[in-house]
Amino acid sequence: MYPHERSLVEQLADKPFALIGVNSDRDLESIRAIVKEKNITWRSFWNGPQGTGGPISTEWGVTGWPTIYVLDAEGKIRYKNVRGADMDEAITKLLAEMGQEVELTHAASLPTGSKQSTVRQRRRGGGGSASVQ
Amino acid sequence: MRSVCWVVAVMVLVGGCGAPDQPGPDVSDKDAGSSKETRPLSPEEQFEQLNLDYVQAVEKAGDEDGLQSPTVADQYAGKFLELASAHPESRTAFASLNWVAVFAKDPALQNQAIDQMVANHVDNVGLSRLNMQMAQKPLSDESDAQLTTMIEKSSDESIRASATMALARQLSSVPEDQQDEERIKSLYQSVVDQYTSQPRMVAAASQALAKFRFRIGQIAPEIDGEDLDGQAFKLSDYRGKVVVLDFWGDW
Repeated sequence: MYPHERSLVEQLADKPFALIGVNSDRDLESIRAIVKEKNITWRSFWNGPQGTGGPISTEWGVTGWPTIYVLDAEGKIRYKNVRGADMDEAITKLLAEMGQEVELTHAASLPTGSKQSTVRQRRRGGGGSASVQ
Repeated sequence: MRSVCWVVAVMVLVGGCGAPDQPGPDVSDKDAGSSKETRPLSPEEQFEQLNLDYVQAVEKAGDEDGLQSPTVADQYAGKFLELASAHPESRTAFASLNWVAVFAKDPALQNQAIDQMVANHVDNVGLSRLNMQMAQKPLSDESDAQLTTMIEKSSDESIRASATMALARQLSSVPEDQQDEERIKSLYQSVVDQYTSQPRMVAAASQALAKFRFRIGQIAPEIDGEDLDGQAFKLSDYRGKVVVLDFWGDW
């Protein structure tokens, strides 16, 4: 996830785009260290010391990690749980609605390999996900 | 099956176990006194007997859970339906129909039973328990009609409330973009508005309603929090931008 997200943030730096995290790690000190170590350049809300049981994820009914919402410029929820190439497509469409044409390309060194193969990596499941209870 | 009942009836009488028979000789039953050996089993006794027979049949099939014996369950469902239609208004009928609704594997048999429960026992509080089970099942035209009838006809609040919840849950079981959102919302809302005597269902309904705020097409509710450095910020600070909101954790 991180390399794809970092790539998005870099490519869209001068566009009306923001990647906002809601971090659900319990320990603030260790997540700060990870942010530095893994070069996580985007801002995150902290879900609090209860981790996945924190107030933000609870209010939003999030039970799987990661969970993605894509909002348009009006703040309207337009997509949910899009990953990889699907996320790129969602972002491209929403920026196009604002008259911003972008073409996203990612380095072949992304962990999932080609852009096509990232499409298959959608939804929950896979090593990186977790759930409450 | 019938012959088994008779045999048991005879055994009970011959054995003289002091079965709690109806007192007095003047029983309204026409057959009373007509033949000592062949007193028919009461509906309750027939129900018990059918239950025992079923357990034995399942054990005989080497499958105590009955999970592998759908044909046995459906075969007995037929007998329970028969027993119910012999005494359609009785408690035994309700218990028999409930047995079919719970144990029958064939949806047609289940529906036949539930249709009769709704037609003849719409105020029997046992329906509330059935509705909890109905809530877990996929939506069908039959279940929609059965639950709607309970909501319209039952005089019992717990039945109406549980039927409303079950119907809303079933309607929510189809993919989000195919749901009748307005109908689901109005069902949950009616639980919140009308069934204050059922606090747990009211809580569940309001929780379900809250989730609609986070659906595609809705304006994302505000997040007013702090970043990992303790700086306060809001989601709405990013209005005017396309935002990817990523619930993440490093684990």
